[in-house]
Amino acid sequence: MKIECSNVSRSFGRTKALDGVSLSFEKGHIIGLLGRNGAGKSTLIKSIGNRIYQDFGSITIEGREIRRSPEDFERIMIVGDENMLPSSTKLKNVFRMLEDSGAGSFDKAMELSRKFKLDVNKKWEKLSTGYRTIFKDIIGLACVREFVFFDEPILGLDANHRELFYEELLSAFSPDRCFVVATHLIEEIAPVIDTVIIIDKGKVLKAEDKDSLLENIYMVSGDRSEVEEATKNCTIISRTSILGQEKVLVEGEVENENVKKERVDLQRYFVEITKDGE
Amino acid sequence: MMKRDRVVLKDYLLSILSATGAGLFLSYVVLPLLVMILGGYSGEELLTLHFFMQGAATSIGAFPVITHIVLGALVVQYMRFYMLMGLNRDRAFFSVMKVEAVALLETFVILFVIGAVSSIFYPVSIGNVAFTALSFVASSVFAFGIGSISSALSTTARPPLSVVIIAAVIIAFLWIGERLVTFTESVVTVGNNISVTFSSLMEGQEIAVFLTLGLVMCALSYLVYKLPLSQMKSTSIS
Repeated sequence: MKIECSNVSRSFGRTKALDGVSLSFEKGHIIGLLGRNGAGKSTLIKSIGNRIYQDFGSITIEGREIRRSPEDFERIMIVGDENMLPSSTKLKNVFRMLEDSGAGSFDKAMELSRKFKLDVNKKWEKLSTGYRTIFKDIIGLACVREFVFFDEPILGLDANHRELFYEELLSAFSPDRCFVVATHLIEEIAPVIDTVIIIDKGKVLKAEDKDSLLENIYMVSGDRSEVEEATKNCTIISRTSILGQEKVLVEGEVENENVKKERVDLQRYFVEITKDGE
Repeated sequence: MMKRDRVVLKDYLLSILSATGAGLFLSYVVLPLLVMILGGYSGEELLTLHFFMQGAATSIGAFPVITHIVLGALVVQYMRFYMLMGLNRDRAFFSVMKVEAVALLETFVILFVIGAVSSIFYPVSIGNVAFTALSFVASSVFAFGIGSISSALSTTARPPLSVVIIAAVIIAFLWIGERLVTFTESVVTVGNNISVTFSSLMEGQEIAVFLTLGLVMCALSYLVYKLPLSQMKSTSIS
């Protein structure tokens, strides 16, 4: 079972936040939704979560439009970057509502609160930025929905809390669920995710398995002519030239012993394919 | 009511109770004390106090009415809360409306009880008390409608445009309400030689006008949430 986005577009004035996005979120995966600031990650998540309406395209589960199907909508939990909580409500009561609405477990939320040292008798408005994020993360981690979207779940968290979040994310995951994590901290999320979706300027650049994505990606450096020769059958992703030396990120088989060939990590790959001539 | 409404319902009911409690405290404790202290316990002032106490029971009704404006303005916030729990926009909207309906019922019961208790101290019929409580509930519906439509409009545009639109809509509805109420101030004749006279704080027709306009505004706010440009990410209230 999967959530399918087909040709989803959304504009804000003259800005195209989403431009014909087509992709799917399938159960059994932890997906990293990666993109630069303003790439369209949050807009996509908000469209899926019915917070905003897309201008064009459809978002479906098994062919049914999510926003018109309340039963399907109840399969999704969106833990967004915006405030979705009444400021005067005690955190404990929010957890109670989580249980009452069948969205999650009160006990699990309380257990996570203890681990994160969150005072559940506080009100939302009294929380610091970090603890607001923690609170939202707890809702996402304690929920039992099949599809859980975390939008910037580590915003303002210290290193210890980030570690704890990743641990709990992995422990809450099961093959009949799908977690989507939109974040800027690619290095940290890379070991946790198995699938990568890269969005840039409202378009999907890549959407595939993390390991196969980086399988044929190399950073090739050396003398310009040697590099050109070595990469003649490759797809050039980015190129940097300094004093006759060239450094190119390529996709494909590199055939030359006289150049330096290195594998790249997800963060380097992401930076190179989204750097926009900077 | 469903189990999942429990938390929101508690928030709504507590708001009404607190507002009425504040009204009771001000009207029956603070203001009488002030009158007595300033009046120096003279017989004349005690007579004034007696009349004051008669009016206090009805003036308390203003407190929950004002609270309903705030509750209306919080509709979008509670909708977002319901949506976080997995309800789509339609269901979230109707869940908040359902909770508000119970809050209105609570308003009626509280005001009726206050009126009934007050009637022990001065002569007033139970029917009149019920009618007055109903008139406050009608005003509460109108107040909630104003809050509700303003919160719905806040999802469509950003300030200052949203403020201008909200102000224009509220002024328009207040104007319509005033016109309709003024119109219904005249004696209404139903059939031959049958005219209806009301002795409550609010005329029956006024109750109908406020109820109708309140419901119209709630219906309009529902339509606003259906607009493509309506975004539930607004945080202007929270």
